[in-house]
Amino acid sequence: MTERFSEADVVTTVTRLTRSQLFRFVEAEFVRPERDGDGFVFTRVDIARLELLCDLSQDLELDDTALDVILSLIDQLHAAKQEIETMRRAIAALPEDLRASLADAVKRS
Amino acid sequence: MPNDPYKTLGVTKAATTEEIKKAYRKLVRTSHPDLHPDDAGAEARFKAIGAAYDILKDPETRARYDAGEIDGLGAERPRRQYYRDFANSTENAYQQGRGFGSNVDPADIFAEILRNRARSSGGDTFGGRGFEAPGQDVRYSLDVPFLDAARGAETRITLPDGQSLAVRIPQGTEDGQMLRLRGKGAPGYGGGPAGDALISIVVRPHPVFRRDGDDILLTLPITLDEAILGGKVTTPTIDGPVGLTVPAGASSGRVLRLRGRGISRAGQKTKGDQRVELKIVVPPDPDAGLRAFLSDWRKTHAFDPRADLLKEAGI
Repeated sequence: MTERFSEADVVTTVTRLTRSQLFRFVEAEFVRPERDGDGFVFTRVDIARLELLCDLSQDLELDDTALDVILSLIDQLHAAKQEIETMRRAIAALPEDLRASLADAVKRS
Repeated sequence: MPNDPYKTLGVTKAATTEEIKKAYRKLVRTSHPDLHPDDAGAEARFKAIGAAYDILKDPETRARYDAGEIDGLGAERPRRQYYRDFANSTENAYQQGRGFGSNVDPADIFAEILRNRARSSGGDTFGGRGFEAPGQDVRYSLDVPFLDAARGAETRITLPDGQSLAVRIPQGTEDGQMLRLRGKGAPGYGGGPAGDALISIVVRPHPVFRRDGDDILLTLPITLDEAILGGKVTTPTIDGPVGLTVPAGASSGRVLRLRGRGISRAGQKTKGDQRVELKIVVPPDPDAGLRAFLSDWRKTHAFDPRADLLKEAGI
């Protein structure tokens, strides 16, 4: 069950965030909440992402261009890690001899 | 002393506020869990430096700590989830490749991985899409009446396939602006997310109102007597008619400003204004009395509004 948060919930949860900043982040598509009638609906992922955005923009004083670059790299990193994790699990489940020949192939490449 | 915030931030007791901030920022860079997703100790370090900074960033709490009134633990920071906690979550809509899912045939997974590898070695970006791809964005154009764009409105567009789509026009939408409806584009491939509908807005001109940013422009006809004597007239605004006081002695071209009667936008505190340009309109068939009065008036009053103009024309 996905928890859902309104704009008001978000600014009370992420205490450093003002409503206008929230709108700015939505406008810039740094967070992409669902639209619901006149307002937005946020999930826990959005909140974690907004906390990160506050850290980067307030503590490290990064501007929007830098935020955009960093978010994109983090998302790509997560995707790459996920692929590696899937491969790791698949390899771990292989019979011993197959793993050995795989290890060989890795060494040779 | 345990939990010495100076020690946590690596600064001396004599450090300036600026030095403390600098030290904190450096530690955020090296310890933020989201910037170091593989560092298991990052979260604890980040929490500690956050608590230390909470005490030292404010000269008042810093002084109280120095005087021994508060300890170095600071206020408990609310528990939070880091973005990296969602790296593997199906909830995470920001990830381009959304993993393999549990209901996929393993044979397909390896075929996909090999395909992806082949593509990425060909110079394509790796780590992005691959096993599934988002659908195409689909573009539409939508004609919007001037007032709907200014005040915001709900409308529907009919798609080529006969379906209709609800579109919310936000307050203050400008001509040429693009609205993005997430997931309303073409369906994704291999279980990928649908593309977006991109709607470019064409604002239809209004017979009376014009627009300059968030200001509404309007030309308001007034009579000769209103221009000379002044008076209260009614002017339309985008939110309905309002009273406007015309000052005595107003000429054509004079612009009066109705504060806050322009366009308001979500997330913006100040509204635009309505700028009313006055335009004197004489009666189509001036009566004999008025003609007679002006003929007399002309004999005794020398007012030449073109004197400066002719001089400045320099001819």
